[in-house]
Amino acid sequence: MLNYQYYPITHPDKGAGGKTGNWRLVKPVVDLSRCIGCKACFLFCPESTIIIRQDGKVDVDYEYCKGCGICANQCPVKAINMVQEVN
Amino acid sequence: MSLGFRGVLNRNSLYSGTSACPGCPENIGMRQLGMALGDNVVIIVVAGCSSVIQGMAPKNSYNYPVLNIAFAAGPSAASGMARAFKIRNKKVNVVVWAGDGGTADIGFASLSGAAERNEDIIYICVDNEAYMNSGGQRSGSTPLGAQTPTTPEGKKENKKNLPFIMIEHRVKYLATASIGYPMDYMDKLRKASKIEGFKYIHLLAPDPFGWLFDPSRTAEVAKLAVQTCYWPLFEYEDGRLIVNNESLHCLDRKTRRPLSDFTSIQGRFKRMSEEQMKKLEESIENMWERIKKFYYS
Amino acid sequence: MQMKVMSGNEAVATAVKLARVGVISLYPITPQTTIIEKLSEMRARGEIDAEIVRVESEHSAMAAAYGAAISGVRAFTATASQGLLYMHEMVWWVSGSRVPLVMVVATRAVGAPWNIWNEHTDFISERESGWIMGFAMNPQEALDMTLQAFRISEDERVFLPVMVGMDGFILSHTKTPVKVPSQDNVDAFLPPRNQPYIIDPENPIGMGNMFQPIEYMKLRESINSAIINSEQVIKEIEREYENVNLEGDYSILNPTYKVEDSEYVIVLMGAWSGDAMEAIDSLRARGKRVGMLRIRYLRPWSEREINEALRGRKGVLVLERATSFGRKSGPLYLEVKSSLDLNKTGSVSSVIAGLGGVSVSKRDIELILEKFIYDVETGKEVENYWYYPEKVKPIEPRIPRSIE
Repeated sequence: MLNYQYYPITHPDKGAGGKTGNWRLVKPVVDLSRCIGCKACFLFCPESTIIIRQDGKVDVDYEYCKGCGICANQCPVKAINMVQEVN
Repeated sequence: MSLGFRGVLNRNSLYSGTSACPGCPENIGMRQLGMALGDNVVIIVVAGCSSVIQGMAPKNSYNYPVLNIAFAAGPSAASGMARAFKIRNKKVNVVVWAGDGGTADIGFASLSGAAERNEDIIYICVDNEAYMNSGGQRSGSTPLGAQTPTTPEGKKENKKNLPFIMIEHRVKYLATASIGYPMDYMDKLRKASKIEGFKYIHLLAPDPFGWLFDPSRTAEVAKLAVQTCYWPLFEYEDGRLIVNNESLHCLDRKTRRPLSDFTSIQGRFKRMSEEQMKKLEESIENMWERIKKFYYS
Repeated sequence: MQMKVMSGNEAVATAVKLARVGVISLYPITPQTTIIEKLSEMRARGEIDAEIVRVESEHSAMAAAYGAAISGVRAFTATASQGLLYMHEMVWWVSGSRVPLVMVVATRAVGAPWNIWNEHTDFISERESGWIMGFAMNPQEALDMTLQAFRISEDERVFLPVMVGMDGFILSHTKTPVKVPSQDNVDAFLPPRNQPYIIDPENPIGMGNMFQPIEYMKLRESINSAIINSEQVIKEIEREYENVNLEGDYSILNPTYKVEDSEYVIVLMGAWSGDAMEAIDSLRARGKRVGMLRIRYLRPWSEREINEALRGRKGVLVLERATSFGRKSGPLYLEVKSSLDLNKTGSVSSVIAGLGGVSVSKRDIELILEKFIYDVETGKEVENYWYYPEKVKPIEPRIPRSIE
């Protein structure tokens, strides 16, 4: 009887907008030798795709990164470069 | 939970894969909110970009309990919600996340009513200075001279000064913030969450696709806005106005960074005439005169 | 159980108190203003401990009640004509969210031009919105149906908001003796709040972000199924209500009066049913076999009950206090006629009367019925028309306070 009840409820999850990594034209590449672990890129990334590693430096989640370039723009030591996407 | 610097929490409020444009300032603002306030938050999202950014069912990009609501209803729904949590004896931060269209225009009466009743909520106006979700049409919060789809020759009216209007409501706490200054924004959020009563935070969110600049420069533009004194950073509490450190150089005309540094990198000001630019500079000068009068009194 | 003389507005305020409502959002509009004033007085005296939100518009009144309801607390608001139309957007938002909430509408005509007196158009115009809609006939029903509304809306087979209508001024302000149930009886009848989901940091969920079109359609169908199934739920709950108040007869959604052997049936909604019953007695004394079907629930619309009451009659007259502009009838006629098996029922007619507070007495109803019966018996084609009473005393403007 109650299988007719359906409510407009959603649950927090990744990828609500799809596999947004496919949107990229350029992608950020982190030069770990220059990265000082200041986490400025983490503070400004609009997609939560900057991941903090154990050693305090950063990685990029390429599955969802949209390639906006804010991380590269904000890095104080220019450790991130925006590189052309190959595919 | 702390990331180990300035009390920034490692609390992910935004799951990757949102429907936002690349470089979206609202997303930056939402992430920084999570880093400041942690778990105990309920968000009421008023119609706007953030309604769509949450993505499609069955998923939701916001890692918070979220109530999506009609345009004019945000602050009043938050009032009811705040009272409900009071009855249930739960200390919860009820946050209204509304755009400038929903605050300056259609939701203004609701905002004014909630402020007058001193409801225990945090109201965040995410200001990208237009109705960005529907394509960037002008709102009451669009600045003078800005080109938008509904003001092709540049807006002829001044930007509605919401912080001053809310100060006149004698709210418990008011602050302006910018996503380019996350530590300042997070401090203000944390302060607001400890105060009981109506708190208003006006957050600058420069939109690359509406203001016409490269998305990688979103944070840079948010900083420039403050440095060129276009966007003042100040707080209001207990009848006193405090100009924050990042804006102190604006008090003296001589130490202000030229406004053209801010307007020249945005496509929406490209067609602005010299007269409009002068008017814009004048309005900013007037704003600072009023801030100074209040600050020094 | 006490017997008290009270108006419809006071009865509603009493029901809100007995239901232990947590958040009341209020905004004044004639003729519901005394509901909110009574509730404010009760709060000031400590008779209730509800949170009262004195909002700045009706749109906000619905939004505030909704915000409270979705966060786990029983909520209530009241409005009328202009206010109801102003909150129209939020009325739809609430039903789409499937949040249990109760609203009372003291019906009133809609402007332009300004009109503060009774008419059902405002209430009836909300029938597409997905709310369950009941209409009271006297202050006793206003109290009972408001109490029942909380239970109906919070039933898991329903989970929809409920609105209870009552005639502005005629019912809202007129005092009759009302049996007020005891708090204990109501507590036994009304369990603690139940809702389909709750917006709370303990369990983060999102409400209302976009669904694929096909899922949206399924969500809408769910609302429809819930309203249609609520007929059964309402019957059950109202039968249980007899433990709370023995006075009311709630065995059927749409009560009938002397229809068993009727040739002609008048269908109507609201307080003038009392006048209609007296008109029917008058006509019966003169040998006319007339009966009445009173619509008490506009939604869910009980096709079965309508059909049962009206099948095989020589004539059905729908007396309306509302308009559906552009149709040669009122809205109730359209609802009724579409539920009839036209082969088995004779003539059906719609008469619009009493709009904007025009006084309709039992003599007027008698005349309308007489004309209808005459037309049917003499084989004339029955017409839909707007009824204007012969002699109407113009309303004299008085100082505002005396309108109380």
